[in-house]
Amino acid sequence: MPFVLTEQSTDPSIQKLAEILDRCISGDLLAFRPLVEEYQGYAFSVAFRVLCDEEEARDVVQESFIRIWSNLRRYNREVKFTTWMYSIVTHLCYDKLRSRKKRGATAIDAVDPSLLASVAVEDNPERLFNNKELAGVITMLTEKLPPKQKMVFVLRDLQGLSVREVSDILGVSEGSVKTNLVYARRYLREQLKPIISD
Amino acid sequence: MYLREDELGPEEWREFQRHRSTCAGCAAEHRKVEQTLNAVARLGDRIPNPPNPVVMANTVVGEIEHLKPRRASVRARSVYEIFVQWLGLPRVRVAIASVLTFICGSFAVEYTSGYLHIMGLENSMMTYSSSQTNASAQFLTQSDASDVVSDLSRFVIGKKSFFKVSGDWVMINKSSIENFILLYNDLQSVAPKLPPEFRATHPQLWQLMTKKKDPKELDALLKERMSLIRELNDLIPPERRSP
Repeated sequence: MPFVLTEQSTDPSIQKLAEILDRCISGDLLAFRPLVEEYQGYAFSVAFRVLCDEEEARDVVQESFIRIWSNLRRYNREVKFTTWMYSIVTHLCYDKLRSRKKRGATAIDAVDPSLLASVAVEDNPERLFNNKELAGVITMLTEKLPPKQKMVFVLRDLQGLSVREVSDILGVSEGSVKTNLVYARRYLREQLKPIISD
Repeated sequence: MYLREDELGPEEWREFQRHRSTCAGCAAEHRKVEQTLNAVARLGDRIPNPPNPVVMANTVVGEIEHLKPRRASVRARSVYEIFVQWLGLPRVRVAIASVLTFICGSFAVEYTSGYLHIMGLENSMMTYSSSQTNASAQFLTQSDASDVVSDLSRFVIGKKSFFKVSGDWVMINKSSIENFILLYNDLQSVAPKLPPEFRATHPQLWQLMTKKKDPKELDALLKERMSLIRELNDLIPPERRSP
C-alpha cells in the first residue's frame, strides 16, 4: 500500500505511518517492528523476483530494513514510503546481481535448450503459462537479462508499478525505463517464440 | 509494439492503432506480445511465501540492537576535531605543504636575490614619472625599458653593474632602482650635452630625455644638481662627451 506522507495527508493510515516514522526517528525501536512486519512482504516479492533466490532475497530484505532504520532521517516524505523502500531493495539487489556477474555465477546457471524443447507448443498462452516447466524457463530467461533491464521488467511487468514509479525507484528517466522495457520484452518475446506459436 | 497504451502518449498510441489496423503482421505480433506479457505478469504471483513477518521483524530488530552500541560509542565530534582530522588527510597535508613552500620561496627570492623583474622597474618608473610630470613615461614597454637600461649602462662604466640579462629577461638590481630613476631623470638634464650621433642612434631615448623640459626649469635643476651632473659627465666615455 503506497503512502505519501505529506503534512496535508488526512488518510488515517498515512497519519499512522507518519507517527510510526516519527517515533522511529526519535529512536523508538519498538515502533519499527510493525513497519517491518507490514512491509517486508512487498520488499521480499521484489527481491525474489529480481534475484530468483529465496535465501538471497531474505538477506536483501533484512539488510534493506536495517538501512531504512539507519537512514530514516533522510527519507523525503514527499515520496511514497514504498517507492523509497523499493529503491533501497533494488539497489541491494543490483549489487547482488553485479557480484554474481563478477563471480560468473547465476542463480540458475544457463538456459537449457532442452528445457525449451520440452515445453509443449500451445496455441493458447493462457494455458501455456500454467505449465510449471515454462515458469522455470521464464525465470531462466529473465536471469539472462542485463541487471537494469531485469529491474525494469520486474518492477513494471511483474510488480505492476507505473513507469513513473519505476523511474523514481531506479533514479533514471522515464524514457530510459521505456527503452529498457522494450529491450527486455523483445528479448523475452524472441526467446518464447518457439513455444508460443503464431 | 512492445509498449502498452499507458506507456505511450495518446498521439503515439493512436498512430500505432492506425498502423495496426492496416498491417496484419504487426496486429498479430502485437496480440502475441500482449498475450505473452499478460501471461508473464501472472507468473509474478508465483513467488515463495514471504518470510514470517514476526520472525523477520525479530531478526531486523536484533540486528539493529546489535549495531546500536557500536554506533552509540561513536560520540559526536566537535567542529575542531573534524577540522583537525581534515588537516591530517594526506592530500590536504601535501596541498598545505605546497602552498607554504611557495609562499616561503617567494619571500626568500624577493629578499635574498636582490633582483627584480624589469616589470618592477617599469612600474616604479611609471609611478615615479607620473608623480613628477603627471604624464605616463613612454618607455613603459619591456623592450623600451630594456633599451634604456642598455643605453644608460654605457654611462656607468667602472661602477657596479646594476643590471644583468638572464635569458630573455632583463633583471635589474632592486637597490639600484631609485638611483637609476634619479640617474635617468638627471640624464634628461644633460641630454643637450650628449653627442649628436646619440640623437640619431637613440631617437626614442633622446625624445624621452628631452621631453617637456622647460629651459628655466632645466637651468634651476642644473644649478641645484651640478655636482651630480659633473659626476655623470665623468661617467661618459671621453670620446662621447660633448665638446
